[in-house]
Amino acid sequence: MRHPWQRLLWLKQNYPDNYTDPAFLRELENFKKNQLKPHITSSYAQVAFDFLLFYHRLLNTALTYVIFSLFYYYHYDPFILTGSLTTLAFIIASCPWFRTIEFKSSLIIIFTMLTLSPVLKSLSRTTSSDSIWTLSCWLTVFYLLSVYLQESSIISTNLLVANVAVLSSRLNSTTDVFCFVLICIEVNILLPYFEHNLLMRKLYVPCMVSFLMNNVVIYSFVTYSMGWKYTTLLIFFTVIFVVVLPRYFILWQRWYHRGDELLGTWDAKKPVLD
Amino acid sequence: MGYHVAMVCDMFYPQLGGVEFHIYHLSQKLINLGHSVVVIAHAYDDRTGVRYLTNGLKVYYVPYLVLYRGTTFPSVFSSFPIIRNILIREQIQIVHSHVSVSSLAHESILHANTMGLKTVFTDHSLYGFDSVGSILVNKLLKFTLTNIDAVICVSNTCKENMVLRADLLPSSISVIPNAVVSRDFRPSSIEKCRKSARKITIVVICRLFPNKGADLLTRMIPRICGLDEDVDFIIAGDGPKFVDFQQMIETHRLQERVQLIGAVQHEKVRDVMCRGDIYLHASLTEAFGTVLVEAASCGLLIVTTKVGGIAEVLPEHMTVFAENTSVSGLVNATMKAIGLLQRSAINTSTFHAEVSRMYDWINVAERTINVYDSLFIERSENDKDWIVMLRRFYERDGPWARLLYVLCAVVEYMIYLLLEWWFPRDEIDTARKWPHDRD
Repeated sequence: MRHPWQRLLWLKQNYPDNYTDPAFLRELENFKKNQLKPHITSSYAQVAFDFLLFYHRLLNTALTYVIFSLFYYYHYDPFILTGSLTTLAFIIASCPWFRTIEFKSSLIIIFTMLTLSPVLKSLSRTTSSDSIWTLSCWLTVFYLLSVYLQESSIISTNLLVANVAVLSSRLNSTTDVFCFVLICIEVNILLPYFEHNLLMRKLYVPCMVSFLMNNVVIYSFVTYSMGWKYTTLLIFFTVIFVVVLPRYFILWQRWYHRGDELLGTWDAKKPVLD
Repeated sequence: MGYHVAMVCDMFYPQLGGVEFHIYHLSQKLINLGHSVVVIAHAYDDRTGVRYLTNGLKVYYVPYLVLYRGTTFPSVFSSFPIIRNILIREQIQIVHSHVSVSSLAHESILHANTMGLKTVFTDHSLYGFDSVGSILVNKLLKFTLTNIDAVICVSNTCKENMVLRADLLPSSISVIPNAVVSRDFRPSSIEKCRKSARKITIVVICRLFPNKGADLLTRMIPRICGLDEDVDFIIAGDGPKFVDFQQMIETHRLQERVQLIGAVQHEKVRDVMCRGDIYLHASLTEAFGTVLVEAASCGLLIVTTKVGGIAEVLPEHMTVFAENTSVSGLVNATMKAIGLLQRSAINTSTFHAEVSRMYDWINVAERTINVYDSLFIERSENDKDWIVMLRRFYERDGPWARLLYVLCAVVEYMIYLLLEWWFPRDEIDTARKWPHDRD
């Protein structure tokens, strides 16, 4: 009579080394059956909304380059744009809902930037422009990744500032640099923060307005500077990103869901520090 | 006539650890059993080229870029010329790779399959499924193990993990545990002269990392010291949590009772173990837990969490399991073990003899040879046929991955043909084997 198999390594058993625990085989069978079934997915609207938010953030980041080209290439007068945007920012900041933005510290930051502008202007002047474009491109990629991975991370702010600092050495005057830095901070840090607050309060109308404005600015700029062909291409990719990709995501969730309980068996256990 | 085996792994001596010892001892025993073994690892600092270890164990240290914690940069094809050269030079029949985070091991499996050699893979650790790192490793594993001939895991838990990670048939994986050199882990020969019969010393030897339960330890040690005046601790090991232990000692004023001795050389581990009565293991994940076997072999009572493969490793009378990975669970288990020893309700002096009967490298080597034998018995004609292997790659995974797999395989074949023309086989000298007088 053969002894039943025991799940022990120290015991010399009369079973081949490739013998498998029958209990596990049963589990495995159940697991495979479960994998073939369609799984519950998130709602399409929710997923599409998340994609839309990220798309919005992409546009925000693109605004950095719009402003940069306005100053650098089109020699646009920085005062009007900066003045109006900053006034708007201060009005919003002083409205009772957004008391969290400190008036005093904002002023300190602005004056610091004012002092630092000449430094930024000459910081990487000796570097060739091509290197600056490449560097800026990678910094933007990392910035977007950091935004995607962590919502409120200091890393993304640092990457943004690094990108702005790198670009500002190409600008023509210290005034341009100061205005550029200020606008970039307003557009990429204050605006998302403001929108986040609005979303939390479920105030969708101002968000929609800001979203539409964002789109209008980007598309008109692309059309104005590069022509209709590029705009069409951009719209095509936007539609894919906002409409098609969420569908693809849902498809994966339905058929390739791997969140079975069995898969957690081998994770490191959580220490209970009672 | 023995087999010609190449053990491939990024981790090897001068680095020390469970895997390194596994490869070393297994190779030594295989040599003793009349097989020819070479080890292929990446170069460590100035340790490059060919070196010989005890008993004519030849080690090729291949110069490579080291990426992270002793593993080389994954490049898929770039190691092919040198690996092919070594395999031909040593007339290798079986390529035995170790560890799933070693890129050298993965690449060698691919190259050996292309060259029509038998391939075996051993895994030593457990991986989750929910982090980016483990997803990448599992994907890579799925690719390289597509045409593997046999897989060995160190415990049943490890094997089941492997079945799901690499999508393999359960019957293709053998479970062969680690072993210990019980001669090196003898209990202290001098009769333990405890200050009093009640005095108990608890030993902890592990790298002080979060996944080894360092947080649990820093919280439970003060509690046990508070519960029983006669318990002392010896903590050996180094790691990022070392400072936490120092702070724990200072906050609770345990300088007299907790000894923190830092990293210990492997040959001194036994001496440290022999100073204690209980070995405490708070790890949160463990594929096998060789250190438990070593401690039991030194005649220590084991207190441990029941995670991973630990439950399979030692018989129940040698261990006290904590019911969960919580501080209170471990404290209860430790107090139970202390009670057992103080009442002399357990005899630990027989542990050494028992463990030496349970775990032995010769046994591991013999079982490994059984696996090797099966490779040649159960072979089919077109096992290493390129087209067959290509088809397996294509049937292996999702719509995108399969294309990438096939692409990699085709490029690999092309490089092989190029190498056969550029460095013809017959121009590579074969190495003379180390002479062994067998008695």
